[in-house]
Amino acid sequence: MATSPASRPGDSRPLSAVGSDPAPNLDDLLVRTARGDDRAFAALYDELGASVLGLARRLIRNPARAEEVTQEVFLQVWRTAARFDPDRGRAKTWVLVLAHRRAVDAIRHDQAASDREDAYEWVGQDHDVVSEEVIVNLEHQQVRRCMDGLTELQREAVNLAYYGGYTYPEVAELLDANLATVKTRMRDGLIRLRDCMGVAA
Amino acid sequence: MSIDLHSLIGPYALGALDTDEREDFESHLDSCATCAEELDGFIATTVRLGEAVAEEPPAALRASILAAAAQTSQERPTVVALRPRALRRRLPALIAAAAVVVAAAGVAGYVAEHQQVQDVRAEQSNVERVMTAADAVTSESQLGSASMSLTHSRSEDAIVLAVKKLPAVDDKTYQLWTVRDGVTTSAGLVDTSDLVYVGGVDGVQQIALTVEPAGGSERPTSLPVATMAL
Repeated sequence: MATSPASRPGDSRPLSAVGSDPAPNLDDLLVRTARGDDRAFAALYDELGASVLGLARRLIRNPARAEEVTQEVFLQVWRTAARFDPDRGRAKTWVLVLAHRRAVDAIRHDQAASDREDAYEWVGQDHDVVSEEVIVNLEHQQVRRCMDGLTELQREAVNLAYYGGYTYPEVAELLDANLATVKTRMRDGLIRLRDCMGVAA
Repeated sequence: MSIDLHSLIGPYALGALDTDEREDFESHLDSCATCAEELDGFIATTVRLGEAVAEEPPAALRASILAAAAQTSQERPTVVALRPRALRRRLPALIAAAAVVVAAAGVAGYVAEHQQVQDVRAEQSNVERVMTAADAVTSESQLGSASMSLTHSRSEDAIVLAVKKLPAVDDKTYQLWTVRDGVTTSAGLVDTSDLVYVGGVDGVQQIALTVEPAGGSERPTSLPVATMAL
């Protein structure tokens, strides 16, 4: 169990105020992990495991495969922790970017093409349902509120890319929009989300 | 070209590029300070999206991961000269870190697995102190037939770089640089096989080896042949 007084994964974590450090000790935990400190690694897992698993489950429908990818992510964190530079980024960002990339790669490379086609067809016919489902399940009030502030096309583009793992040409096809429009909507959507969440650039 | 690449910033932040475009965009980032700044904010935003869907993992997963880690050896600072990039330009760290992780998995021939430390014998007392320090950390890297071994001791505030069999560079020379927050400082010339002591490395994040005109340069004039993180 985490010994940190900070919020724990699994609880609906209150989002920290803008500008404050959401998890002051995560960077330190990752630095210690790089030195082979297995307790620091365990504590890092306790803090970030829920986010990594949740993201993997969102992207990869198969729960067993999502757990496998979660394990791969954390082993990669363990192996390559020495590459993390606390002066140049946050541990949480480092781990979650890695997790998203790994999960997306798993979708794109591991899953049978037929699975993908099925999902694709299904989403293609009914993408509104997918987007709604994602939003309804979002635990985080602020994220949900900010998602509601997007235009429909922005929201769908962001959802299908980040939570669906689709490339932007796939998103364009699903939404029956042209590529340039989709790229723009993704960027605009991120700008609006960023400003709504008060993320410091 | 770069305008076109720049339009990929949204898809890139959302992980919606294929591998080729991802790499193209990362190259573009090297030369675009404003995108790096915008991207930092976008990535921080996607992190929030990721956290928003957190789910309590089963207890067995924790046990499994910790057990697997206990049996997995860790990489020490390793060669990261995977894609030439201008060292003096400061990349957003998270992108650099993520890119390196992926590149290390995908680019053959550069990243060497660790080799047993061989007979790096101390010839000077400085070198000896570093090599025998209780907190000395050594990493080994292979670049073709050449090998590099970097030993870093925080307590000695110094590093020792041992290189072996670097390819001859005719009328040029190898030069070693330390990198602090994107600022490169010369740490002297290096022979094709050499043992180099560098003191006062507090704050140094990386060392880099470049090929320079005979006699060395005040600042790097070429892309590094190798970099190693401290």
